[in-house]
Amino acid sequence: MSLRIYVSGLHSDPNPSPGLGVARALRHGYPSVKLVGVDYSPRSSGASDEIFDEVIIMNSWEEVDLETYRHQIEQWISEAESYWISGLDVETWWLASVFPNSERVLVPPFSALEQIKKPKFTALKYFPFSTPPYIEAMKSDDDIYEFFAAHGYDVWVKGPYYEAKRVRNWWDLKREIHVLSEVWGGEVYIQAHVEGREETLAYVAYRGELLDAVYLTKLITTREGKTWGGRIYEPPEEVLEALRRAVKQLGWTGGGEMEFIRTSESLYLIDWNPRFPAWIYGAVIAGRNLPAYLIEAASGVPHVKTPGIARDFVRIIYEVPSKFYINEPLVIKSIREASYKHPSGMPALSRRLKRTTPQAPQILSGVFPLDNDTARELREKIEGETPKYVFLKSILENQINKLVSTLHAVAGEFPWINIRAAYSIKTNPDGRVLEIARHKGLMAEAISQLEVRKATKYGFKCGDIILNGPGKFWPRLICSGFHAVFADSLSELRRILNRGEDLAEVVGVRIQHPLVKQRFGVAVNSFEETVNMFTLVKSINVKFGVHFHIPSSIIGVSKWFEIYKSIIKYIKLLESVIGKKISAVDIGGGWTPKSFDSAFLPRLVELVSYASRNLPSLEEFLMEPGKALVEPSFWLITRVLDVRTRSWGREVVVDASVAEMPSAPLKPHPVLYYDEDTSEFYMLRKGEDRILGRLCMEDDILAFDIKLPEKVKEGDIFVFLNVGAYDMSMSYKFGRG
Amino acid sequence: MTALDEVLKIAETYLPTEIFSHHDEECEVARKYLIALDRLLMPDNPLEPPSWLREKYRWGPVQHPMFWCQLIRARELDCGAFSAVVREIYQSRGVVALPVQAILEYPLHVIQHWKEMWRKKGISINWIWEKYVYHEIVGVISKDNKIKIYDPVENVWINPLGYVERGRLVALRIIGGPSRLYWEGRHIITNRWYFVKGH
Repeated sequence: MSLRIYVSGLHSDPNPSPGLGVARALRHGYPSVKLVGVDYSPRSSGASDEIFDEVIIMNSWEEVDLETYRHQIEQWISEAESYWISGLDVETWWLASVFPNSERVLVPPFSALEQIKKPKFTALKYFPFSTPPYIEAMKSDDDIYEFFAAHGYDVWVKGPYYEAKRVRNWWDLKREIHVLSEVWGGEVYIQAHVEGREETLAYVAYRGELLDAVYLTKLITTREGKTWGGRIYEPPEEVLEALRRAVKQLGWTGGGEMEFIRTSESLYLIDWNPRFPAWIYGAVIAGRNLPAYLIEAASGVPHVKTPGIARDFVRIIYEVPSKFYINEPLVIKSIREASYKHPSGMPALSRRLKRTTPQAPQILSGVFPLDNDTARELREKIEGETPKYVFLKSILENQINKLVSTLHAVAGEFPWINIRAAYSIKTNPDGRVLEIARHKGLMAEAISQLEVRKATKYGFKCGDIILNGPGKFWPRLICSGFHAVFADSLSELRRILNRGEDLAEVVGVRIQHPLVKQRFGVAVNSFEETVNMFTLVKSINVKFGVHFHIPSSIIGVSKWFEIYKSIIKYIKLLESVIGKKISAVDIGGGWTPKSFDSAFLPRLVELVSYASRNLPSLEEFLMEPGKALVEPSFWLITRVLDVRTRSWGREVVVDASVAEMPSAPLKPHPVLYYDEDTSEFYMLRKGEDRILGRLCMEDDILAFDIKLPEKVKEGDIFVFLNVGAYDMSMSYKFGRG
Repeated sequence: MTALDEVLKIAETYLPTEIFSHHDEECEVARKYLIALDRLLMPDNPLEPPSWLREKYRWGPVQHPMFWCQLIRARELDCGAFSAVVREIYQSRGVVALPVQAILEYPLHVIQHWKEMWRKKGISINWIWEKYVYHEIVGVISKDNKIKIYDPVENVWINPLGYVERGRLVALRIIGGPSRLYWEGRHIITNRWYFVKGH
């Protein structure tokens, strides 16, 4: 009796399927086995390897009739001692659904697959580790953006089975969500990037019994992060024990792969695949033949055991004659945005399987809750010319009140430290905002003398102003006795010192952190600049302060707290080197409204405490919020100019544009629709429609992936929320004649 | 062919590299500058090596004795200078770090290039004996007298089986510290040569 084993997934490029590795492992363990390679395209180049006795190139997954294919497979594996090992994730799901409890199709039960489904991985309950934070792409853009900002604009967009793209800006994020949803048929999610070492666990089980497992550290990786060289280890005991328990509970059959990121503190699961990894032959080189264990358990035929040759392996590339005819490629002008290439055609199967999943109906959400004053103001402003910004005073007051009450509470714990916030004028220099900020007891932060003039016009004294930025004395100095001045460079510090001691109560420097690329401040990474700074600082005869400004939305919230601590430790050492007391620390701003409320304010006491412990002479703790206070307090009213029906959805053109909302490509703005019939405002939900700006610019897209109301028509009103920060202050006049 | 015994005898006469101070402000500021930079870049775990140092400096020949005021302006450091700075940084973090001397074996075609690098700078090649080279690395002590050995030039933890890229670790000697240390399950007697597996 001879074994006949079908192995699928033969694609062999730097991001290969595991079929070839599985086949080589089986040939090693069973030299006389009949190996039948299965794939869905002759372009899956591993199909041409001599190792296969036969190769079946099936129709593409777009063409395969699933019922016919089920019968074919049933017939093929009905021959004595025939087995099927799948190397394709989506095929595994399909096989598990159509061959439940099969003794020949060696895949996990469907119920097990559901428990390892991304991104929840419910089977993780058996393990002592977690996954990095994630958010599903079906959530609101506002929530996704907040997640994106909280993780330093550095996340992965991941498909439901496979494929991951690292993205760093909002536009790319939205694009990749769109592309991956189209490629895989939905269920896309976004996961925080975690910096660490990549490790992988490969295992094999039969009917809930763990047969073997190996651990891999990647030594060489491709640009996509795929293994190109690795070292095989025994899995850590606590992982092995948990795996044994999980495999039993899941009733697992077949190969599996868990992919991890190891940081200095934690192990994170980033992927769990229901098949052997492509590097599985690397484990054979180390003396661990996992595919052969599987066949032995299923067939009872013992495999030939060979000792390991080496713990380390590398991949190489070499050419072989092609066994299959492949069409010569034509130059194709692709009109599809979704263009990921998968010779094995898995996305097509994924889309076909997803088609059976009913889509949630897309409707308007309920009436958007507005207080009476806001609703009245909005209704009044709808009349007349649009587009137009609306100032919502109560929102601004509420934001500032939260800040002020936190400052008071924290100040109570540190009565010897003056804890102050200075409103960042550049964020929005609207006089009404400045007046409220001053009235609530905030100072002001200015980056030019024009801003100083504006601040004094609205009641700020020069002693309530912090000067920052590279052009703070432009166009000419209009007063002195500022609260603080932070030099942006050493040459500027020299000029500040030359202006005399009455310029400001605190004179300091802004410093650059070596881990964050910035053009502002003293480069402490340079010894020369640092030493020159030491020398100059010695001649400061007023209070000395240090300023840093690294927006949390650039580096991520948790990283911001790490960097804050490292800077305080640095300043502490600075104090001892220059022999000068650090009296003031200014931590800048750059928080989104949500992260300010949820992460910054609740931890302010911890921040001040840390600074106080390390800097005993600290007298002032300063911050410069702008966006966090003012962004939600202005909205933009716009009117529909045109309604267009496209094959994929609808678009409206409105009289607003990126000129009034320049951050539209960088962040989402929630949108309200004003229903004339009910005189109520409704929040738009996600969908496939778009709102376009009035300008003749390709990028003038104000909202995408939204669902327009069925009855939308020319002249209808939409309201974009949260335009109170740089949308207003950086708006421009393009297209207005 | 130079025998390993002869190499070890010569290496035994070498003292671990130190960076010297002129005992003036310039040297002191330079030393503290590097420590301050480490505060900005240091990982949460103080035992983790200051891997940023290898990005700041290339590896190459330097003239000894070297002073802090020279080191801070240098573009490249040799293994001894790297190790000395790393020890200083660990010490500032409150971690005990010991000098470790090592003998490694490399193919001659690799060694030829190193000889050229040193010859072109006019610095004496007193660390190469045919296929053997003298190297300085750092032993980082954690609790229970456990030691991990860090190579600041390669920017890796040394593998106790003696594997290094392009060559192999033949022997090492930890200088100072307690008389006995534990290196990934192996007992090491300090101040004596320890021969890695197979030697």
